[in-house]
Parts: sequence; C-alpha cells; structure tokens
Amino acid sequence: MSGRMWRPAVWALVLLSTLAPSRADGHIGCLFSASLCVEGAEWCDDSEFCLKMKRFSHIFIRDSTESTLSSLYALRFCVRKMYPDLRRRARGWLPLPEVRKENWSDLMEEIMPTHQTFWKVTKALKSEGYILTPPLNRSNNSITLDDTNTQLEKYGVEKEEKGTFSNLFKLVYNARVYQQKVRQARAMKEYSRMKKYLRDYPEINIDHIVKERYPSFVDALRDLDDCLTLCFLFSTFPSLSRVPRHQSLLCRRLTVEFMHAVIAAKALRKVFVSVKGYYYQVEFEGQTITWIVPHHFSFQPQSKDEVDFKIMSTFVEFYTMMLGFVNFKLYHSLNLVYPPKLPTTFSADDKVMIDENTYVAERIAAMNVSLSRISGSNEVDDTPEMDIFPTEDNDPQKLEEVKLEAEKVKKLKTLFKGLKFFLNREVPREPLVFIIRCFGGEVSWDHNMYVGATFAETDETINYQIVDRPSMEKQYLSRYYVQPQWIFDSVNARTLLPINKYLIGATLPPHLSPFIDKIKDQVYIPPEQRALNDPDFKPFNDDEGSGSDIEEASDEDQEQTKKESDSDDIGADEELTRQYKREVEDDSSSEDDKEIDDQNPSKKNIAKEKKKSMAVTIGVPHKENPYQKQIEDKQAFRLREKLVRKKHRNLYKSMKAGQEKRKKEIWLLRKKRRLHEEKVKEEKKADKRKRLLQAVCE
Amino acid sequence: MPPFRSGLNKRKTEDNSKVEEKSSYKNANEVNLLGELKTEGDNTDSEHESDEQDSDEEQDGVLFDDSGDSILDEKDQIDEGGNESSELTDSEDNDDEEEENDSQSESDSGQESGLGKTQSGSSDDSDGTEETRKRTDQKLMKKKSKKDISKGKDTKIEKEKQTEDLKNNHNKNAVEKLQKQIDASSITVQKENAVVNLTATDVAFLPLSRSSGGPLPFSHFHLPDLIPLDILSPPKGTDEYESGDTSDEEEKTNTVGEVPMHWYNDYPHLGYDLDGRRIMKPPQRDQIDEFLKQCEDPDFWRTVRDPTTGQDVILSKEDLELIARIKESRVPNSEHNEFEPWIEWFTREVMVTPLRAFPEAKKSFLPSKSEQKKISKIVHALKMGWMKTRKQMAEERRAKKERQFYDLWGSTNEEEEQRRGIHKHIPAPRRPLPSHAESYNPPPEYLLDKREMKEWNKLDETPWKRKYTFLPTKYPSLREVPSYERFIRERFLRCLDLYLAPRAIKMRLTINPEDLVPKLPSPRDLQPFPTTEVLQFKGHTNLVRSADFDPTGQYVVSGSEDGTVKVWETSTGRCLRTIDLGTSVCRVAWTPSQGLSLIAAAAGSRLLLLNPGADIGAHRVAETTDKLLEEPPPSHDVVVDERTRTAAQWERVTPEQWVRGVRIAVAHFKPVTQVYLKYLQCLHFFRAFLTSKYTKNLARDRERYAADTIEFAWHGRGDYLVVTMPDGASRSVIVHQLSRRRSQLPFNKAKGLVQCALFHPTRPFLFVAVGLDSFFFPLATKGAKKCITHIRAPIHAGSVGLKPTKKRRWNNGSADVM
Repeated sequence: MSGRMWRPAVWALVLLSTLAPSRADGHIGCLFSASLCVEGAEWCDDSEFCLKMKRFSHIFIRDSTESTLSSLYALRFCVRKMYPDLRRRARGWLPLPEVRKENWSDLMEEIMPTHQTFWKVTKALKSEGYILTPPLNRSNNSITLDDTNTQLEKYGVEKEEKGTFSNLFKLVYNARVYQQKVRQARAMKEYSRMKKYLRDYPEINIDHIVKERYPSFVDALRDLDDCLTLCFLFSTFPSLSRVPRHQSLLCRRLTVEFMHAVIAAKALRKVFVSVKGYYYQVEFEGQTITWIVPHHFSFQPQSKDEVDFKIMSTFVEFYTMMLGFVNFKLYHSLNLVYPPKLPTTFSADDKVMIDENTYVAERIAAMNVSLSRISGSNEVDDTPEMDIFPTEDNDPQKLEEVKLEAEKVKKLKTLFKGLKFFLNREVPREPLVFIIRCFGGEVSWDHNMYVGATFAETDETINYQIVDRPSMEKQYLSRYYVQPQWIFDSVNARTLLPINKYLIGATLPPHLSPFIDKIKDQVYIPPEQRALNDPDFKPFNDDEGSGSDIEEASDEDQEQTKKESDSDDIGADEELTRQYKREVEDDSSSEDDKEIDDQNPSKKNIAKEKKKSMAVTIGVPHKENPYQKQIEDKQAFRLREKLVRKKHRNLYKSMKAGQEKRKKEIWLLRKKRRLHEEKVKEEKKADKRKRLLQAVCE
Repeated sequence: MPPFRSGLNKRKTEDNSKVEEKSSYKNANEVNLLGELKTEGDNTDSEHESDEQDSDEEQDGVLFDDSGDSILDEKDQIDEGGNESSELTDSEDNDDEEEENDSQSESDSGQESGLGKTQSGSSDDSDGTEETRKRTDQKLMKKKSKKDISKGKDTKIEKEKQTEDLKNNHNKNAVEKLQKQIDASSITVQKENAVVNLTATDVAFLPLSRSSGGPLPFSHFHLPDLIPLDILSPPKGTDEYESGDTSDEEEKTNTVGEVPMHWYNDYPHLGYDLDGRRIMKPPQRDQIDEFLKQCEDPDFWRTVRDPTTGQDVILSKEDLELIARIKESRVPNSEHNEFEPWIEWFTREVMVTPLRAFPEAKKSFLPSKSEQKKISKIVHALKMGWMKTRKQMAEERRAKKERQFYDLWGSTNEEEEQRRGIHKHIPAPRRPLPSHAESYNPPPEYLLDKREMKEWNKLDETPWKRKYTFLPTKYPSLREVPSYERFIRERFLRCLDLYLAPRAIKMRLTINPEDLVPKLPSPRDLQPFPTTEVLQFKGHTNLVRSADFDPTGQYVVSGSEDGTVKVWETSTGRCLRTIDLGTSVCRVAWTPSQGLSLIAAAAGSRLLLLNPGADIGAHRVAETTDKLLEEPPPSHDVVVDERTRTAAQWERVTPEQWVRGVRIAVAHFKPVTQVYLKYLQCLHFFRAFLTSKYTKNLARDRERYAADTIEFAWHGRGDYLVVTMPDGASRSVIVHQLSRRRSQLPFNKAKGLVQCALFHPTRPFLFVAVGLDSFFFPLATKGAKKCITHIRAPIHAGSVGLKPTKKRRWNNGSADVM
C-alpha cells in the first residue's frame, strides 16, 4: 500500500470492522469522530452528497482537541450554504458527536445526530455483528466530544493487551497528525520539508483486519466471490485518477497467481460464457467460489454520478490484501513457492532484451508452464479417498450420489489430459488457456500473440486447434478444428463432447448455463440440456409423425399471434396472461369433456338398469373413475384451502402466486421454443423446395 | 564600392549597348553607375540621334505615352534648357568617379564632358527647332530618375557607396563650379525654362538629394497611403560633404521648403526658385478637361500630379511594379532574393584547434586533495550503507511499497477464533448465478420477441422493472462478443450493497404451499361407522331419552319415558338396577368424578341425584357418597335471594325415596311436560349406543321439544351442575353446587332461547348455546359476564358439545364447538 493513499473510507471500514460494542459506549460520536466526518460521510448512501462533502475535507480534518468547535461551525456553514435542500438529510446523516452545552445548543440544533441516524447506523452495524446501545441522555451541560486523546485514555490502556482497536485508534490519530504536518509545511512554503514528509508517508498495515474479518481460511474462501470479481475487473483498468496504476498492477499479479493456484489444484468445476463475461466456479476446501472475468476492453469511462471509483478502489485495497493472503495459503497448501517462480531458467539473450522481473511476470501470466514447487515435495496427484462419516440421516442413496459425484469430478480433472491444443489468434487466449490447463491439457498459441508459446502451429501432434473464424485456408488433417464453445461445453458436460456441432464455421448449439439448479422444481430445462441429461430424450421436432399436428397447431398459433399483434395496445402482459389462462383452461376442459362424455352414458345405463330390475345381480367390482376422483380431490382441496389458517393465508396466497408465475414463465418459454422450431422447420422446407425447384429447372 | 568592382562595371557599361544598360539598371548594386549610364545614354542619344530616336520612341510606347506629353507642349519647351544642364552635371559626376577609379577614366571624362558640352551646345543651337529630341531626352531623364528612386531605396551599403562617389565629386568641385557658371548663364538666357529645368535636375539627382537628408522627393508624388513611409524614409547616417554638394544643386529647386502645398492653392505660382523668382503653376485643368482626359488618355490611371511642380507624371511600369510590391508588403526591390542561402556565422561545429591557444595551467592536472577526501568519505559511507544512491533509494521505496504476504491463518486455534471482533457475523449474500438467458449464445426461446422488445423499450425509464438486467442477445461466435457496458456499474452497486445495506438473517420457508393446507379427515377416513348391532339393552317400556357411561366405561345408565332409570353393565347388557322415578326421565348423566357414585337424572321439573347402589362400582365409593349426602351441609348465613330461591329449591329426600336411591332432589320452577333426547350429546356415546332409528326422528323432535327441555351438565369435578330450562327466560341457566346444596343464577338477562349449557371439562369456562349462537363465558372472572367469543354456527345451535383432543382425554381439550 502506498504511502500516498490515505483512504478515509478505509478508516471507516477499519473502524467498523473492529469496533467493539463496549467501545461504542452508546454514542455515535465515538464511531465517527469529528475528524472522521469525511470518512463518515462516505457512509451515507447519498454519494453525491459525499462527493460534495469531500471538498470540505480540509475543513474537517483537523486536530480534534483544539478545533472541533470550529470544524462544527464549518460543517454547519457548508451545510447551510451548499445544501439548503439537503439540510434535513444532512442533519440525519452527518455523524457528529453529541454535544450538549448551553452555549452550543443553538449551534447544534440542526446537526445533532438524530435517533433515526442512530438506528440506521446501528442497523448497518448490526449486520456486521455489532450492537450499539442508544445514546445516553446525559445530564445537562455535559459535553461528550470525540476527543481522541481522552478516548485513548479511556479505552486504549485497558484494551491494549487485547489488541487491535486501540492500535487502530492510534494509527488514525498519528495519521492525522502527520497530515497536519504536511499541511503546515505547505502553508509555510517549506516545500522541501513537505516533499520529505510526503515521501516518507507512514504506511498503514491492516493485515489484522483481514484476520479479524476472516478468522479462518475457510471464512476467507467463502467470501472470495466479490473479491475475485473486483480484482479481475481492476486488473484490466488503466491508470485513473482514483485508481492508481500500482493497484491495478497488483490486482493483475494477484489474479494471475490465483489462477495458477486453481490450475495447480485442478479446482475448476464450471465455466460459463455470458454476455457479461466469463463465469468460473472453483472448489477449494469444499467452498465453491464463483467469479466473473469481464470480456476484453472492459474499461469504459463512467460518469461521476454512476460510479465512484474511489469507493471501489477502497474495496480493492482491502481485497488485494485478502487475496494475497489467500494466495499465500493456497500456494503453501499446494506445495508451490510463493511468490510464484518458474522452474526453468531462460536463455541469456532473452534476458538481455528486457527487464528480468517483467519478463518473468509475463511468462507467469502466460500460464503455460506450471510453477516450481517447494523442493523436496513430490507432486501428489491422487486425492485421498473420500471419508465417509456416518451422518444422522444415513441415507445410502445420498452417499451413493456423493460418491458418484466425486468420481465424476475426478474424471473431470483429467478431461484434457494428454491433449494438445493450439489457439488461433482470434480466440481469447487467457480464459481458454486457463481452462485447458486446469484440466490437464497442453496449450500453445502463435508466438507473436503473447509470450510463452511452447509449440508452433506446424506441430503435427496437436489434437485440437481452436478456431473462431468462418474458414481457414490451410488445415492440417491430423487435428480437429473446433470452435471455442466446445471447450466450455465439454467442461460443463464433464466429457469430451462430439465435435461435429462445433466444427469450424458451424452454427453453434446454444451455450447453456451450468449453474441451473436441477433439483429445484418448476425450472425450465431447454431441450438441449434434457438431451444432455438423458441420451434417450428426443427433441420434439425430430419426430416426423406429428408433423401435421404441429402444423395445425402452428396455424392456430399464427392466428393467435395475429390477434395478439392486433391487440398489442391493450397491454402485452395482460394479453399474455389471458392467453395463458385460455390455453390452460382449454387443456383441462378438453380433457373434461372427453371424460364426461365417456362417463355419462355408462352412468345413465347403470341407473336405468337399476331402475328396471330390482333383482339381485352379480356384484360388479367397483371401478373408480380416475378423472372423477381427480375432480373430487380438487374440490376437496379447494375446501381445505379455505381452512388455511389466517396467519398463513397471505403466505399461502403469495406462494401460490409465485408458483403460478413460474408456471407461466415456463409455459411461455416452451411456446416460444415451439414457435421457433416451427419457423426453422418452415425455412428448411422452403429451402428444400427451392433446391428441388432449382434441380428440376436445371 | 570596391574599386575593382566599379571598374568592372564601368568596363561593362562602356561597351554596352542599350539593352545592356537596361540590365545594368536592374542591378540594384550598381546604383552608383547611374550617372555614367545616364550620360552614356545621353551620349549615345546625342551621337546617334536619328537611330535612337526611333528606339526611344518605341520604348516610350511601352513606358510612356506621347499623348500625355503632347498636352504639355509648353512644358516640353521649357524643359529644353533644363535638360542640358542636368546632363552637364551628370557628366561631371560620372567623370569624377571615373577619374578617381581608373586611369582610363580621364580620357573618358574628357570625352564625356566634351560631349556634354557639345550636346548642350547643340541643344542651345537647336533650341526651338528640335523639340522631339529634347522631349525624348527629358523623358529619358525622368525615367532614369524614377529608376533611381526605386533602386536608391535598397540598402545602406549602396548609400555608402554613393557617399564615396560624392566624395569624389567634392574633389572636382572646381570643375563643377565652372560648369555651373556656364549653366547659370544658360539659365539666365532661358529664364522661363529654368524653373522646370531645376525641377528636372532635382528629380534626376534624387539619390543625392535623398542622401542629404532633405525632404523626400518621392513623397511629392501622390502615392497611395499604403506605402509604408519608413521604407521610403532616408537613411540616417548622412554625409556633410554630400549635403554641401547637394546644396549647390538645390539652389535651383523650389525653395518653399516643407510647407503644405495647398498654401499655394490660391496663387498662380508654386513656389520660388533660388533667385526668388516665382515658379508658375502649370495650367490647371477643370473637371471637364479631367474627364475628357480620362476618356481619351489610356494612361490616365497611372498619371500622377507632382505637387511640387504641378506636373503630371505618368508612372512607368517599374514604378507600378514597385508600388505593387510595396502594397504586397514585399521587399520593394524586385531583384532582392529573399531566399538567399543562410550563412552561418556562428557554427555549432567544434573546431579542431580552439581559438584560445594558451596552455592549461599546471595545477589543473593535479587532483584536488579536499575533493579526494570528500569522495573517499562518500565512498566509505556508501560501502557501509550509511548512504544510498538514488537508485538504491528508489529501489528500497519500491520494495517498501510492495506488500508482503505471509501465512495469516497459520496458527489458527480456538482462542484465535474467539478474537473475531464481530459477533454473529452475517455474511453478505452471494449474487445469484446466471441463467441460460445470460449466455452469449442462449437457446432461442430466451431471446426477446417483438412484443417483449416492445415492453422492454417501454420500460426504458424504469429499467429495474424489466425482466432481466441485461438484454439477452445471441452472438454467432465468441469473437463477436463485446464487453458488457454495465459491468463496472454493477460491480459498484455490489460494493455499495456490501457496505451500505444492513443485513439480517431471514428465515426462508422450504415448504410447499400445500403443507399449509390443513389435513382434514375425509368422511371416508372416519370409517368404519358402526354399522352392525352388537348388543341390545332391553328393559325399558317406553322411549329411552338419554343414556350415559360411567367414567370408567363399565356401566351405562339410561333414562326413559317410562319413568325409570336403569343401570346396565356395558359388556353384557345385563340390567343391574332399575330406579323408578315415576315421571318420565329426559336426561341422565353420570358424575365425572370417580370418588362419587352419582347419577343425575332430570325427571319433570326436578333434578334428581341418584346413587345406583353398592352393586355398581366400588362398594366404598357408594358408601362414602351416601355418607356425604346424608346430612345437608350446615347452612351458613348465606342469604339466598328471592330470585334464586324461586328458581330452584333443594328438597329433602324422603326415606322412601332414599331407599329407592334418590339422594338429592332439586325442584325447578318450570315443570317439564315433555322430555326429549339430545342429539349428539357425545359423539362416542352415539357411536356406541344410538341406532339410526333415533337419529332419524331427531330433527323433528328437536324442533318440537326445544322449548320445553330441561337440560343439565356436570362440571368436570363433579361438584357443579348446570341446568338449563329453555323457557326459563332470564333464569333459564342455573348452576347448582352439590357440596353446599346451593344454586346460582349466572345471568341476569335472557340472551335468547337458551338451548344448552356446558362446562369446559378442565377449565373454568361455560358454554351456552343461545338461538343460533354459542357463547363462551369465562367463570374465573365472574363479575364480568361477558360474551367473549361469539361463534355463529351454520345450523341451529341445538346443542353444544366439546370435542376432546386426541392426546389427553378431556384434560386439555381445545374447545371445538360442533
């Protein structure tokens, strides 16, 4: 962390994350000392307000012991001047200490922290695990200022042995003193002194915050999602005013390190190419971590109202620290050297060309070579056999499932083992290299594209060449030319899929998300996925026998669509629901009619017979009409529905509505799919006809 | 001017033809030769008059126009004399130069001067006759002078050269003076012409007059204002001799000096010559003349009037060019090369041998001791690490900036985990995982169709209401996928969520909505119903109105309209005891307490408590019951009010009755005429006992007898009995207490037609069925007799029953009203 970066928000975070309830002393002022009000201002949700407040930071950051009063005046002044409309809000949100003194009462009337504020802060803190007691009603004329010194005297000494909090307080205090020194030097125009101060800016070390937030390694892994996503995003950033260059460089370094760890551990489980970026899911120590890597050229300038890079940068500062420690731990658990080193040394002439550090960093970033391991440790490939603990619900079926899953994962880890891949220039290199290397494949690329290519395109032993262009002039017979989606789909399917759909220039099958929960009911599963899950499944457009039916249906649908298009103005949604209902009713009613028709004559006959002959007849086994029974059940259920407890009635209704909604969504998707398939079919037919015609003409 | 150059020039000029002359004119550097050239020109003119006249004329045709001059006939005549004099002076000048410069020049000058003289002489001779020749002369002169002007402006160097020439002139002053005298004589001869003559010479010697620092002759021309005057202004460094020289010649000029010429507007003259004679104005043209001239004269546009002389001057082509150049603010001299090669006087090239040629001092080769000391100190400091180079320092700073990571979770133990500053930390919820719709190549059903797109666009202002946060799009290949626009914004919002949004644990229901629907037993599940008869208890002669099990279930008591109460053994159906009460019994009930053996029976308006006797149940129980009930409890001074007393009276049992089994009798104020069996008094009872025969008549009976029924119910402990009389009005409900033999009227007002009243089996509640409603009274708060729960039954509330819960029979019954 550079010395220049005093992030007030970090302080806020720091304070927040370490503040013990006893510290708070039931008093907000303690949390947000006057000097920290700028930091505190970042807390309020009105970011615009924050931005403006920051302008006055020089007013606020003062030595609290002497000029709290003046800073209060200044605060009041600017609140009045700048934000006449925001005054009330500011009053609510300005985290000021409680000050009660007769002379000050008029000063403080507007900016006393309200109870609303208190509760808001309390709520926010509560979610972090802190509990504050409400502000005490102090006796008159007593001042409770956030005097750092007194705070330290009050709490610091006794809590010294326990640790971090008082240290933090001191840290903040010292930082402020240092800032004052710098300011003083500037004011006296002693620029050399100022320069020296700036150069030797004290570092702040908040490692222990990581430890406190994540007492165990698993905790850190559990919370790694946001960290990774943000770090991957920042690693693509240029130098911005709020995001220093070294930060994005550090992000890049750490993310590459993490990816190496994933490669070494073979922890990657699922991948998904979305519109937003590449989703990866890895599994470390039983924790699944999912993160997104944006597509190329992810940085776009953002308007100030939309994105405050400073807040993000503050987060990244904490996250880089966390990720660094996680990486260290991961590397050590994988017997790798940290910081990562390459096992091979490079030829001298290469070294001459560029700075060695950059050279090595680039090679590491190429991810094509596995890192050097700690000497003496052998590569332990086999994972230990899964331990089976007798659980309470010792369900053999579940156990079996778990075992199967483990087996599958084991297979997945060696998915690409022994295969050689070559990436064409147009293929995004990093994600593919990462994936292929995770599953044991060998990759290379054009040496002009990036450093670290291990073999050339002319190598005859290449199995697959990954191509993302419609055609290629020179093709080798010894290898398959596939599109990159094949890799992603194969990983998600956990087998090498047949390549015929993914060949060069082919129209790709849809890329499906692997994250859909299959266990959940009421989930729409597209036919492709169903076909994947059980090979016997046939997508309904395949069977030719029902072609006529489909056509009829399509005709109907077309009519319907026409109607729909006519009545578009009414409100699309309503129209849809109506249609949905109609369809559903149609389904049921058609069944009804049939059943009733079937049933009625027989019933009548029986009655007639009964009437006719009173004689004893041979007993006929009572046949239950399933449909009748269904109706009865339905009626009974409706009766029972009325008896749902009042307490649960709303819940029940909402749950039912949700079910209905999901049902409708699925229905809609099915319908769209059907229409689409019919359309495709039509096109195909037309195409065929055309061809036939052409053939005839010729 | 360097002598060799002038010599060269001269040689050139001497054998020059006229063309060469022209070229030499053009050469800006050779201004000093002007004089010679003129004279030469003159000479040639004079010598080959006839030849040259033509050529001159031709030239004029180009440069000037005759017509312009033709108007000035008079003036031409005046010019004649002037011409000569000017020529003379010219020749003199040039002669001087030549004499100085060359040995050859002497002869030249002689020749020239001779020529000049001859010329002047000839001119004198042919004074009036040869007009044309003079005219040409004059024109030539003018032309030359103008050229002089144009060339004279060029550079200082040229001026200096001129001054040199003038010096030469000075040496020849004597000769000059002689000639002047001659001139003067000629001037005197031609007085009138002299004025013009003077001006002509003035013009001819422009360079000289200019260098003398006098007024600008050129400014007399009406040149356009655009001409920058500083270009025309004379150079500063003037020569005294020169001025002295020129002063001689200026004597002939207009002597008015630098005065505005309009002062002379009203006078016929323009000024005065040296002798004080008036210089007359040339004839003025009026506007018509002007106009005519404009029409006729093609050169009108370049005709300028010289204010000093009042003469019209036609600007030559060169003049026009000059003016044009000045207008364009270029260097006036057309010969001047603006792009001459740059001569680098101060070069950056280091010379091999320095200009400073003295040797270095000896001490400069010796190393300084003090410096050495300093250096050694620094080196030592560097060696010891006390001092660092800038590079090292930068490296150090860089290293300092770099974060050091270590095994943060290395020593994780229990205590450490307790150190977490956060208690009950709620981790932030994860973002939902992407669905198929987010794929770069989603299945076709996820793409928005026309209608959905319309809706999407409609929600442009409120994008959060949309179905997706992104627009599902299909890209044919991976390389065409662009970066997601909102990525950074989404990450930012997530950050805000993480630190601004308070979190709370919310219980999530994992139940199906069906689980919330209560499970009711369907009638089918209640099967098997009692369909077959097991036992018949035979003995009654009339309708059985009521029956009840004893608490153990061993015996059954039944009351009938035949006036008897019979006790049966449940298992066998044997009648154990028959108590004849005389009046029809409409209701019997066994006491719920096991410590007593008592049966309550309602016979007519009386409520009788019977002891079934020793055979039934435990012997001791029967005995103790008898003992208890033998003597009425001492009546304390409790005053029973009239209302109660009249409602119910506790009677003493006669011995006869005692023998029969009656222990206590309570008479009520309403006699009972009819009795009727209650429907569904107890479900179990009915299941076991009632046959469908009875139930069939039920509804009808109920309707008929509802008003006349006396009804009672035991309290759970067996001490209290509640009796209801439907037609009792406000006293329809009476509570009897056995132990104290007392009655109470719980209600003061009639709520309606009371049908039935019941105690809760365990808790102090009283249920009363009134009309269509059932009321529920807590007995604990007796003072406030309020209807707490008001249950409206769907059917006519004929009775109230309490259903026992399954787990604990009667003990913890939830009151379900049937």
